[in-house]
Order: sequence, then C-alpha cells, then structure tokens
Amino acid sequence: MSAASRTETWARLAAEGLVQGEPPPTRLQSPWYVRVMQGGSGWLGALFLLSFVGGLFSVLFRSPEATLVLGVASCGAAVATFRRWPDSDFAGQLAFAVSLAGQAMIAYGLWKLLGQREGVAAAAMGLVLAALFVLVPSTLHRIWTAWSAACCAWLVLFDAALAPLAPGLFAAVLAWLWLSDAALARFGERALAAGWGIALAVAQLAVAAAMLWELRRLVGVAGVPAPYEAVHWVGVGLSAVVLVALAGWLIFRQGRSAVSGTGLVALAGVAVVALLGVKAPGLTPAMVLLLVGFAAGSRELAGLGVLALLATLSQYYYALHVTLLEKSLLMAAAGGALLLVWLALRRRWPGGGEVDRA
Amino acid sequence: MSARHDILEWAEQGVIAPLDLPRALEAGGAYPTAVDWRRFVERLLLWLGTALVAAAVVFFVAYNWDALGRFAKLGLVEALVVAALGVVAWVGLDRAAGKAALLAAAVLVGTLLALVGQIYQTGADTFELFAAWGLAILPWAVVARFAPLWLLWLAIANLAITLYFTTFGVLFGLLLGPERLLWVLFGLNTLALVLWEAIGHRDGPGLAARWAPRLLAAASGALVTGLAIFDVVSWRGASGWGLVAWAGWLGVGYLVYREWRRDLFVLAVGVSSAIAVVVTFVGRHLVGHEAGGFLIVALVVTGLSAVGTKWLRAVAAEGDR
Repeated sequence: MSAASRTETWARLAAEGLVQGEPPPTRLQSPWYVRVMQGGSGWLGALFLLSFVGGLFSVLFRSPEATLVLGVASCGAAVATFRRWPDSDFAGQLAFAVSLAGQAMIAYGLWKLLGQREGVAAAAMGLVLAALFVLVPSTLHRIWTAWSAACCAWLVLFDAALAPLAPGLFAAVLAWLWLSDAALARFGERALAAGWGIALAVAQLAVAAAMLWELRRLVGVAGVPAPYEAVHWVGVGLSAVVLVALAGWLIFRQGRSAVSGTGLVALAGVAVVALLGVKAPGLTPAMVLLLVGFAAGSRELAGLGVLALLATLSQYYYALHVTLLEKSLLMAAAGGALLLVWLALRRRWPGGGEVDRA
Repeated sequence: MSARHDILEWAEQGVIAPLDLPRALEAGGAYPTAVDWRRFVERLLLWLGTALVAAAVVFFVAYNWDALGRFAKLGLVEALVVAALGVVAWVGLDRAAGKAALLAAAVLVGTLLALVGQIYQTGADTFELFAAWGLAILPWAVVARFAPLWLLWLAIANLAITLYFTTFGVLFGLLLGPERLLWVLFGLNTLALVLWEAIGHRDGPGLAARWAPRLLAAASGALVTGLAIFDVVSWRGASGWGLVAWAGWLGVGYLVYREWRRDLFVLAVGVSSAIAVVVTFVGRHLVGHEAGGFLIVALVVTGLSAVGTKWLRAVAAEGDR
C-alpha cells in the first residue's frame, strides 16, 4: 500500500509543480507499535541498568550531588552515542536505555537538592528534558522527552495551584503542533515528535480527569489555595474554548462559514460535548485529540482520541463529585442531543452533497 | 504511512520548499476532503450519542434509585432494548445507525440482566450473569457480522470464564489455578483468531478490518507469553507445556503472518513476546547473585530489541518495494 500511495502523492505534487523528477528513496520508519516495543524495551533495559549501577555504586545514591553528576554523565554518553551512530539500532536502543536511567538519576538528584519542592524540581527537570529533546536526533527519544516535559509542566502548574489549566493549555499546544503549517514547516520531525509527546499527555489528562477532580477536592479540604475553585472553572472554560475554537478554525480551513448549515451542525455537536465537559472534564481534551487526529489525517492520533474517549467514559463511572444518577441524566441529555443533531443533519442535508456546495 | 507523513518527510529532505508545504499538504491529499468531514461528523454524532445514552442507562441502573419502583426500572430498560431493536428493524444492519442500535441493545441486555439480579437478589454468581449475557446476544453477533459486536461478545466470554475460575479457584485452588485459567483463555482467544482469519474476511465488509484480528492476536500472544513465563519461573508447579505452546505459537505465527498474510503488527507482538520470555529466563538465572547480572540482562533486552526492530523494519521495507 505504502509504495503505491507514495507514488500517487508524488504524482499529485508534480502535477502542481511542487516537486520535480523522481521521489527520493524512503527512509525506513518504524510504525507506532514497533516504537511502543522499543520504548517498553528501553524502559526495561533502563530499570536493569539502574539496578546494576545501584548495586555496584550504592554509595553514590546516598549523595544527591553524585547521583546528579552520574545522571548527567549517563545522558551525555547517550547523546554522544545517538549522534555518533544515528543509524545503528543496537547503539540507539542502548543509548535510549542509558538516557532513561540517566534521567531518573538527574530527577532524583534535583528533587533532593532543590528542597523536595515539586514545582522547582519539575521546572529544572523540564529544562533538562528540553535540552535532551533538542540534542538527541531520535524520534522515539524526542517523543519520550516531550511527554516527560509535559508531565513536568503539569507538576509546575500543580505546585502553583494552576493544574486545572493544564488540559486546556496542552490541548491548544497539541492543535498548534499538529495543524499549524508554520510549525511543521519550521520544525519538521521535531514538531511531529513533540506533537506525539503532547498527545500522550493530553490523553493521560483526559483519562485522569475524574481523579484530578478529586485531587481538587482534597486540596480544597486541606484549606490551601482559596482561588483554586476559580482556577478550576477557568480551566474547564479554557478546555471548552479550545474545543469550540478548534472546531470553528477547522470549518474555516475547509473554506466554509461557521453559520452555514453543516458548520452550525458541527458547532452544535461540539457545543454539546463542551457543555457535558463542564461536569465530565476529561471529555473535552479527548474530543480535541480525536478532532486534531482526523483533521491532520493521522489515523493513529484519531485512534488515540477514540481510546481516550472510551477510557474517559469508563473512568467517569468512578468519579465522586457527582452521583451516578446525576451522571446518568447528564449523559442521557447529551447523548440524546447529539442524536438529535445527527438526525437533523441527515434530514436537513441528506447525502452530504450540501457539504460540497456550502 | 499516510500522504501527510510522506509529504513531511520530503519537506524535511528539502525536496519541498518550506513555504510550499501548506500547498503541498493540500494538493497531496493530506487533509480530509469535505466529503470525509461530512462522513466523520455523522459517525461521531451517531456513535458518541449512542455510547452516551447506553452508558447513561448503565449508570442509572447502578445508582439503584429507590424512588423508582422495580417495574418502572425493568420497564424502562426493556423499552429501550425494544426501541433499539426497532431501530435495527427499521433501518437494517447494513447502515451505521442499525449497527449502533444493535450494539446499544447488546449492552442494554447486560444491564437488564444485572437489574434483574439487583431487584430479585437471585443469588446467582457474577459469572452466571456474564454467561447469560453472552448467550443472549450470541445470535445477534452471528447475524450482524459486525466486528465491535463480536469483540464485545468475546470480552464478555473472557470475563465470564475469568469470574468462574475466580469463584471456584477459592474452593479448589489446586484444581483451578491461574495457569489453567490462562490455558482456557488462550484456547478461546486463539480459536477466535483462527476462525476470524479463516472465514472472517469472507463474511462481509463488517469483519474485514485488520484491527480486530490484531487485537485477538495480541490477546492470544499475551496469554501464551504468560504461560511460557509461568514455566520459566516454575510458579506453583507449572505443567511445562506452556513453553511448548509458546514455541508453537511463535512458529505458526511466523508462517502465517510472515509468509501467508503479512502483518507487521502481529510479528511485533511475537518479537515482544520473545523478548519477555528470554529476559525472564536470563533474569531468573542471573539476577540476585551479583550486580553484573543486571547489566547482562539490560544488554540482552537491548540486543533483542535492536535485532527485533531491525528485522521488523526489513519486513516492512519488503512491502514498500
């Protein structure tokens, strides 16, 4: 399928005068499931490496400074290996495991040295990960560092009592990385890798939304930040705004008006999801994932969005901030509304011909 | 790989000028067309709406609302099952709306059975609920020839068997240990995979997509890997047949998915399984004696993963020629 579709794509571009001659040879790329396998093996290898280092130099782990230095040395060795042998599978896999072990040591050292404050240590770790993202020319490693950096950013926000803003902010960055032609043109593979890292973080936040809501309750009980309640609602609103704005922008990109028939229908559907997202906060970022995946022509990202939606719904069952009865009524109302919008679309604009004319 | 992926790769290689990239993505068909969007929006509204309504009924029954009498509750869920089946009869199973309604009806039948158990306190074990649910919707799965409905049925069957073993495992721990459960689940999922590959693709477009047999292959592979690891660590006196089944699974899987119907996903499952079993074997014999054992295991994981990746990429490249 790949070779034929690539030739067809090349022919289309050639017809537009965008390329000339024959297509260049393809670089061997790993499909997502091979990357998952590599990532899992890298993790396993890193755990055994850490155990080896811990067993051999256990005294080092008693000093945060020594752990930090050892971590930096490991990451340095990994960067050098990645850059020296960019095409070697063994060197790449070994460097990935060494880098992961090094990152774990750096994180531990920073945590201990910076007074065990999540926000400060996470910010410092985020900078380390950003540097590794730039220095290591490996897509898998970049996806990993982008995802880890997003987790650090969440911790920084959490420490500042701003964690509820994370789903909306991350969703906006996700849409920009995946759909902005300028970002793609300027950063190429790095934008794609960062896009995948952020996508994983958004899926994670969507699924964990119910638990994070509980966290908000617990923080409130502890009597800490009074404005946290307000920040929570700003976060919910931000996610909703990102979703609706994304839908509006996609309608605009398709060259039609948001007040056209199908434009209104699409916006109505998105508005229903955004409204339900007020009480089921994971739904909104999961929907952003799905929309961005489809708009970008990435079946893998759209699939991640579907999985995030299903997992969010399953997880919602256990959320304690609303009763099962309230959840049931909310979902019945939203589901019924979506089905009515679907029916209206089918009845008012059957066949989809209107879409092409609008 | 998608058109988007190819175009971005060419842009990175400098074949397409950065400023031309937006136009190239448009002209190369990387973005969905208006017709694609229309289809997507329709499907999203239909499936998300159906999923939310079905989940709402499950949540409602789980709430066990006292203010509503038992007949009202039963009547409500039954009415919804009948309504869903009415939609199926009206629009037919060839259309997405019919399929969505049948899937919702299948979920609602399980909810109805749970409600009956909740109201009448039948004393039935949980596995009986799932077994009855599976039996009740089996004819629908056969008639609909729709992958998600078959997978729902298989998930219910897996759950019923697991719950059965969990229930009786407590009483007869030696007879019905976890290894035997793995064997039964492995048999069920492997049989489903074989049948799917043998006749699924001939049975209409509803079963033709590759994601369903891939999911089954992953389940089957994970279970046989568990059996092999059981043998390697000799946990609770394993039978020793797990490694034989695992080697057979790898061999047959290689022949089927490398030679007959090339499927890189299933081959990647096989490679992951091989890494897991070999690492367990090496780890069992080396870890715990001295620190060097950890280093050897780390190198083995790395080496196997590198070799596996290289081989999978080579197989993938064959398809591109």
